[in-house]
Order: sequence, then structure tokens, then C-alpha cells
Amino acid sequence: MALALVLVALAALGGFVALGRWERSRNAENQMRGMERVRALVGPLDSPSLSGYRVEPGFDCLTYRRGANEFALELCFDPAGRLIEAIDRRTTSRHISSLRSDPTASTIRVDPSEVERLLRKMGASRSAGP
Amino acid sequence: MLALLIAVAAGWAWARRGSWPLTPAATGAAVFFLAVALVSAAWSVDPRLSFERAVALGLVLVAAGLLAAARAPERVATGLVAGAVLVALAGLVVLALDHRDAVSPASRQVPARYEGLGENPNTVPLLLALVLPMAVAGLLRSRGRMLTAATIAVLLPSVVASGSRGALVSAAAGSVLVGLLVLRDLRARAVAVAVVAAVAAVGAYVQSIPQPSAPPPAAAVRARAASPSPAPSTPPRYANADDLYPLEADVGAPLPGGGQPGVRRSFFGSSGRGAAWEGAIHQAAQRPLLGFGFGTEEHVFVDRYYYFVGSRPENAYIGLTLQLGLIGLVAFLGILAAVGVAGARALAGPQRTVAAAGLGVLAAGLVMAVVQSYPYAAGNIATLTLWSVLFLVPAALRKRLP
Repeated sequence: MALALVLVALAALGGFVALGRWERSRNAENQMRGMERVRALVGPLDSPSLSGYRVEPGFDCLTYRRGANEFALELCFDPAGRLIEAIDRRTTSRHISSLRSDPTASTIRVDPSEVERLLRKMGASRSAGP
Repeated sequence: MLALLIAVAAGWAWARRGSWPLTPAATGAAVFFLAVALVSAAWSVDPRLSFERAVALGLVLVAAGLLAAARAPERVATGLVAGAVLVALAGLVVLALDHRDAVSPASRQVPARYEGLGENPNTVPLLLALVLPMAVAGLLRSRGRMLTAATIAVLLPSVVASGSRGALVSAAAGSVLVGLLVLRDLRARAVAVAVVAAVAAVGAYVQSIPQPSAPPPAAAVRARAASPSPAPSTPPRYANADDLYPLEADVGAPLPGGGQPGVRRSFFGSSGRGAAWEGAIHQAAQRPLLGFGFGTEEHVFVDRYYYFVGSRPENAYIGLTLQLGLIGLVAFLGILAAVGVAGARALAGPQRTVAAAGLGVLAAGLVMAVVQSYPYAAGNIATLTLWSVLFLVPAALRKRLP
């Protein structure tokens, strides 16, 4: 009886590994779909609606204006140029898609030197971050 | 320190010829939960962290199990209460030596709160709230009542002065359960419940007395407004969003340039925790069955909430679901259920007071978990105490004292 229970538990743990990995990749796909949507709304990173920036530990963000809303859209990139977070603030119920805790799962990339160039253009400095 | 405790507890259990104290159900549930935590490294956003945190919690549970194996539950309970008393007294020493270190100052939102020895006002009360039901169990015994009353007189004011409502309610809930389980006479039970309720009500009233710091006087504001201000400069073309719209105060804040939105109040009202819980549940739903990996709560939870300040959602049930999903939450509750069942059976045996104290701590711990993320964090001040007491409960059922 005890042996049977142990075998069932081991089988369950093996199943959990497969299930946990599937959940991880499914979530990454869902988050990337949301990020792609915001990325498409922004258009070129250097668009005229570029309104500001954030310099955070581990990632940098670019913000874009829509009407009076100065930070309506936001894209955040890790140092490798992976898009790890996108926020749509055009309505009070923000739409946030994020892989900030799992950045390597993101396959949406931009040229990191382009982000760096835009930050420099806006006068951002690394010391501006907390 | 934990390794030293394990060595000492193992030696003690060996010297007292202790046997494994837990029921098969409690042992199986604890091993299964730990196994899920360990293998979560396979799907974790931070595999190494998950593995390390699972091992650390495993060591806590082993230490608690060995303490229970020594078959001296009253001595273990006395030691835990004495330790908490020392922590409370040390807080008073800090208060006497350096008031600023012992009291967090008032802000516009929060009144001044007593911290004592803790990192913040909620740290030490978490421990004391778990210990108070044990002290109440001691008070209901026939011997040592004066000492136990003095113990409560040391512990309770620290909880009240901290302003921690969660700790006060948890301690009251655990103490009421202890009264109901230890006392057999209906009238005595009613008196016990009334006394605990009255003490908790007085504590809550005292907690409501300190007020947040007042805004500057109107005259000062008028004077500042009247003083000449520098000529307005042209705003820069590009803004540092962190200065104007920090990420950690995004959700619930007015839209940039869009005016103040109506605040949508949920069941949890204006408490900042309500928004944080809602956000964390939404996040947990992204990986609902097995979560983001054990020990990753702080890593995964992002404080984006205007009315909330914290690195965790401050709810152990939500925090655990975030880490190990619903499967992990059920596995964790399985341990507590096994302890509860063993405790209920032990109430009929010779270790009634020990079982009642343990169940009181379990009740306090469950209530506390609604407002604090703690029972699975090995480094938390209350975690070892919680598990040490909980493991005494099945031990009280399994083994009669020599």
C-alpha cells in the first residue's frame, strides 16, 4: 500500500513537471501576444509620439503619448533588447502584459543599441534610475 | 543557526528515545508539499531560488519534527513562549535606548507605530500573535497562572502598540479557540470568550487612538503660495516617467493627463491590500495550477498599486498560489488539515491542553496568513515557531508522555 502511494506520488510529481513547463510556455505566449499588440500600436520606436523614458534596474522603458495622456503606451526592454513589459494606459483599466519575472521567455526583440540611442537622445542617464 | 537547532534537537530527541512524532497523514502531506516545492525548480522563473527556498523550508520542518520527537511538548511550548517574551522585552530595551529605532514615525497616511526589535511594525506582532494562544492555554491550567498572566502582560501591549490589526485579531481568534477547547463548562467557555473579546476590543480601541501626522497649517500653505515663485520654464520635450508617474504607483493612480478616475471600491474597501490582492490573483491566474515556482513570490509579484506599499501581496494563500498554483495551495492546506484532524483526536486524550494550544496557534496562524505572507518563508520570524507548535499536535496524539 505504502509503495503504491509512493509510486503514485512520484508519477504525480513527474506529471507536475510537464504541466508546470506547459503553463510557463503558455503564459509566455499569452504575455507576448499582449506585448505584440502594444508594440504594434506604438509603431516605430522613434515615432513622434515618443514622450519619455524610465531607467530601472534591469530594464529600460520608452513611453508614448496619445492625446493628453503623456504615458499612454509603454514598452520596457531588458539589456539584451528583449521586450519584457508593455502597458496600455489609454483607459483607466490598464492592460499590462509582462514577462519581467521571466525575461528569457520573451522572443520579441529589438536592437538594444536603438533603445540606448533613444535614451541618450532624451537625455536619460543611468544615474537617473533609483 | 538552523543547523545548530537541528543538531541540538536531534540530540535531545535521541537522548529521550524519541520516535517520529507525526501521524502518517501529516508526514505524507508535509513530504508531498516539500516535494512539489522542490520539483517546482523545473518550471520556476528562478530554478535555483526555488530549490534553495524549498531546502530551507525542509530544514525548518525537520527542526520542528525533531523538537516534537523529543516527547516534551510542554517544554518546547514553554521555550517558544519564553523566546517570544525575550523578543518583546528586547523591544522595550530598544525603546528605552533609542526611541527612533523602536517607533516608526507617523506619516500623512499612517500613525506612529511601535516596532520594538522588529524590521517594521508588523514583524514582531506576527510572532507574538502566534504565541499568545499558547500563553492563554497556560493561563487556563491550574498551576503557574501568575507567571502566565505576567507573560501575557508583556506580549499583549507590544501587539497593541504596534497597531497591527491582523496580529490582534489572530491572537484573539486563537485564544478564543483555546478557551473553547480547554474549558469543559459551558459557562466558563462563555466567560473566556467574553474576556478575550473585551480585551481585543480594548486593544482595537487603543490602536485607533494614534492619528496620522497633520497636514501643514493653512497659514503656512497660504504663505508658501504667496511667496514669489520662479518664472515658469518650458517643460522638457521628453519626461523621466519615474519622476511623474512611477511604476510602483500605477494601478489606481489617475491617468496621466486624464484627470482623476473614480475609485472603484471592492469588498476590501480602501485598504491598499485589496488592490494588491486583486492584482496578485490576476497574476496567479496566468499560471493557475502550478505557479511561478516556490520562493519566487517577491520576484514575481510587482507592486504597481497606488495605495499599497509592499514587496509581497501580504496574503499567504494568494502568495502560495502565485508560487505553486492551486495544486501547491491544496498540498499546503493538506498539512494543516492533517494537523487539525490529529489535534481534534488528541483533545480526547491526556494531552488535551497541548492539543488545544496547538489548535489555537493553528487558528491564529490561519487568520494571520490572510494578511501576511509568511508560513512557507524559512527566514520569517514566525515560521519556525508556527511549525514547531503545529508538529506538537500530532505528537500529542501519537505518544503519551512518560
